[in-house]
Amino acid sequence: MMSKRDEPDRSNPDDHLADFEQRLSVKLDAKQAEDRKYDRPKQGWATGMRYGTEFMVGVLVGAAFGYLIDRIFDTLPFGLLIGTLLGFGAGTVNVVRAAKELSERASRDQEEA
Amino acid sequence: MVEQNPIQQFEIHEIASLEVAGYNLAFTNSAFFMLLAAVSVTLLMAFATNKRALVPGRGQSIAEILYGFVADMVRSSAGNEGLQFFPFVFTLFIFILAGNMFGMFPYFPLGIEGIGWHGFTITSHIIVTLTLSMMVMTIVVGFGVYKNGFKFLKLFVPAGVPPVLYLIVTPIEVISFLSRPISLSVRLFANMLAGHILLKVFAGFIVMLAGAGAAWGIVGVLPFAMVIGLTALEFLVAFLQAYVFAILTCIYLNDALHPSH
Repeated sequence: MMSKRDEPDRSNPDDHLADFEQRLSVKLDAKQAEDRKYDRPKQGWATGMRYGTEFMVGVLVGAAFGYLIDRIFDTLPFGLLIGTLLGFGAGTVNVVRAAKELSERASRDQEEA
Repeated sequence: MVEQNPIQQFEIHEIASLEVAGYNLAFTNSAFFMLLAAVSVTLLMAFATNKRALVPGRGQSIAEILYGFVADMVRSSAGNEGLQFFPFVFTLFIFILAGNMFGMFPYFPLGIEGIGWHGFTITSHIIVTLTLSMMVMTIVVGFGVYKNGFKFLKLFVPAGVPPVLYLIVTPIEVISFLSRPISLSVRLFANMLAGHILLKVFAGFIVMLAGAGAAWGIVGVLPFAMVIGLTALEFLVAFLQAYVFAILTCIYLNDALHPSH
């Protein structure tokens, strides 16, 4: 129910529009905050998949990189060994970055809400 | 007999053959679905925005929501400067989304001799997703070097690290950078491939149980329920993966704009 005070002054078009904007934005914010509550758990699958691929690909690219160097300089297996180790590092860096991004976004969403 | 091979949906068929200089450049069902995605999205957007009403109708609302959604995504990850890449990110997002969604049709009327109606998901082929991600990385590297010159290489030399550790940190950063296009493409491809195989496997169980005779058909209700659940999950994955692809594109573009973390 709308009280008498909340009703716009229809005689003044500028006021009317500004008032409409204000009431609309209040309702939109409330709606978005409500929606956001349901967003969160859905992304669990995507988040898990993200961490998994980030790490796996880091190791694989590291190993491939090392193997490539082996092929060029004929130093098998040392390039492969060092490359794989560095790949583990790179995979971990990827996962840490992904976690940082996601937590930053989560905290930003919380501030907005 | 009903086709039960869960992998057959990924087969490439030629619609119109074309050979240029020894290369087979045939128009395939994959190309057809890419074209379908691109054309339908273009038509949707053109129709939705041609009125440009102050109070949007249904179509225009969809277009405006999509615009706002992607613009927010770009702005929050790559800042206002990143908005110059808005058309690129929007195109990527909507193309992948449309491709994933068209892939959700189990059968599509496509008049090819011998196969007839069939469904196809363009993003379930790694060559498609790798091409898209290489496009992103080309733009990131190209724009990063164009805008920052040699400072772009700061991406591989993070600040605040003791000099000795650069021996380890720089190769790790290089590998981490090289792994980006691969993780970007593998994630999208693996999600779509696995999801669609799973759907077909469970759908195959229904047919097998129905064919087993006696009361086995009743047990077919179980995989049927599973297929319904998986279909809902696949719609979610179709959207989420398009979203993840687009948001990671924004994050990588942010590196090109501001290389020194």
